[in-house]
Amino acid sequence: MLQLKHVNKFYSSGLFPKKIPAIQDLNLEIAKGEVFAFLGPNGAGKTTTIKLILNIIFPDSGEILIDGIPHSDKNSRRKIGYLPDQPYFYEYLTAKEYLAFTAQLYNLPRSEYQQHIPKLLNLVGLGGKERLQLRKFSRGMLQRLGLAQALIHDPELLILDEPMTGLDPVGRKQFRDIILSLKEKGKTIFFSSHILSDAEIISDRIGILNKGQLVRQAILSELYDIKVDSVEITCRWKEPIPSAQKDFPWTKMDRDHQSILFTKNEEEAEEAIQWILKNKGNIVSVTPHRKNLEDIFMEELNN
Amino acid sequence: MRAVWVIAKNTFQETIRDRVMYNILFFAIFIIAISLVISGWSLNQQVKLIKDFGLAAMSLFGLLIAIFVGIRLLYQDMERKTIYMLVSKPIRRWQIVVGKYAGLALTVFANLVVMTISLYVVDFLIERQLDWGLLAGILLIFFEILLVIAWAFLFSSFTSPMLSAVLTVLIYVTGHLSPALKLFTQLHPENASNKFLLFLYAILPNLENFNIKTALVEHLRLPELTAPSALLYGIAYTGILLIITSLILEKRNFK
Repeated sequence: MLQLKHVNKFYSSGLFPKKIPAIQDLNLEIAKGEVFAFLGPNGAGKTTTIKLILNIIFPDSGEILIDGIPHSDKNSRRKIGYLPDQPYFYEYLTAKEYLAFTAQLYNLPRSEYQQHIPKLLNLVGLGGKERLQLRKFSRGMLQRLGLAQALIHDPELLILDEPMTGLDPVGRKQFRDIILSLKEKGKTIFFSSHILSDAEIISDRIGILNKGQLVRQAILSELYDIKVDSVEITCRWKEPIPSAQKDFPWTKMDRDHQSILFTKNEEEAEEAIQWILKNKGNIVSVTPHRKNLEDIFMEELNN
Repeated sequence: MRAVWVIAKNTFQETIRDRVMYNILFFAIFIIAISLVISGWSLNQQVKLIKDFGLAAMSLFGLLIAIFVGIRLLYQDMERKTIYMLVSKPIRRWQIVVGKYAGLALTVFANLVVMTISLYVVDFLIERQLDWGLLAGILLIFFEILLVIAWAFLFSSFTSPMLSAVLTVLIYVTGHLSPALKLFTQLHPENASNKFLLFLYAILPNLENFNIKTALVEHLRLPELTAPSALLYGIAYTGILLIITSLILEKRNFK
């Protein structure tokens, strides 16, 4: 659905312009129906990449295809719904007028968009705000309207730049649910985010961008197959707590009638469980600790 | 063309609600109204004074619109990133330029209609009849405003609003003085810098082409083709400016 092939973008700055690389040899391929989270710290080049895809800025080299159509062809943008990181609108227009304006730019029939607009406003939590001028909207409300205008023409590909920014926890949950429902409908979603927990919930695949370079791509389900780092076992004793043997490969912390055991891997955890049961202890919980997205993200950035 | 019309309609909706626009319009209408008072001070010149004041107010209104709305329109779109919402749609950049320009032209037209009605009301109070000849002058003022706005658009496509405003005022002033350049070369054919002056004359707009105010107020007879040729000149010049602005935006990276 979306392909970036060897894309490079440089910026020039200063009195004697020096080329500073913003994006370096970026290669990405997003399949139809996939939800791709584009992660990276501030200034990594996420928004620049999105602007390149949408032809807001031009690449110095490389190729960008949207469903096989070059991104410079205006028809490629018919397939895209875009939510910018800071959606600014014409402030003297009302929400309804703005959405009608957007629908007309996609050449949608009047009868179609007039029916569609109230539904969309309800979907993003702006029901009843149709006639309010946008200058009276809060940051979160503008974000919601941004999503509504991105969905107005039922696009195949959604490009969302920091979609959760500016939203309260309820708004974030609503946005997550909307994105998940779009995923169910088979839409392709490419979104950038700082909020790793959201990326973890929504996306199928992640890409980590740092200093303009794609440093890692991973399928999220594969991340969870990674070997555990440690296992935490909590147990309760009826009898006095048995003392640990010297050659125990795990560490043990005792408190009242309870112990917490830390093992290095799953095999040692099995041994520890056997030992607890043999000493008539009750197992309360067994928690395997794996690397989460945040650990992987930090690891890649530190590398 | 549909995209151009959609953007024009949106720009009209946006600018017609802009408070700056109202302020300028009220200012212009105030000048027309005040002419009623001032004209009372002159003997036998009341009607002329009112018409002079009214037409001058319209011309000034155009300059102020070009500076305060025309310059902001494109620049603000780029600065506040509202342009992202347009560029990311299935439209071409020239359609954005032409659509925005056409929208502002519609707004100027609507305001000129209000001002024309105000002028005719004031004029009728004194003259007890309507001078339809003024309409030709107002039409030319409209085209002059359109040309000045096209310059404002061009400047705002590559420079800051402050500099754009200064350059637009400069164009307005030199545009009214440019016939003097040609006259100078005719009076001094031996002058070494004549080629340069004629080059400037060719490049700068000749806004005096649109100035038939004195002839209208004094009821002087104008050559038949004055108004049509001024209109054609305005359309061609404005068209060229819009093409240049579109070409600049076509190549521009929006940061």
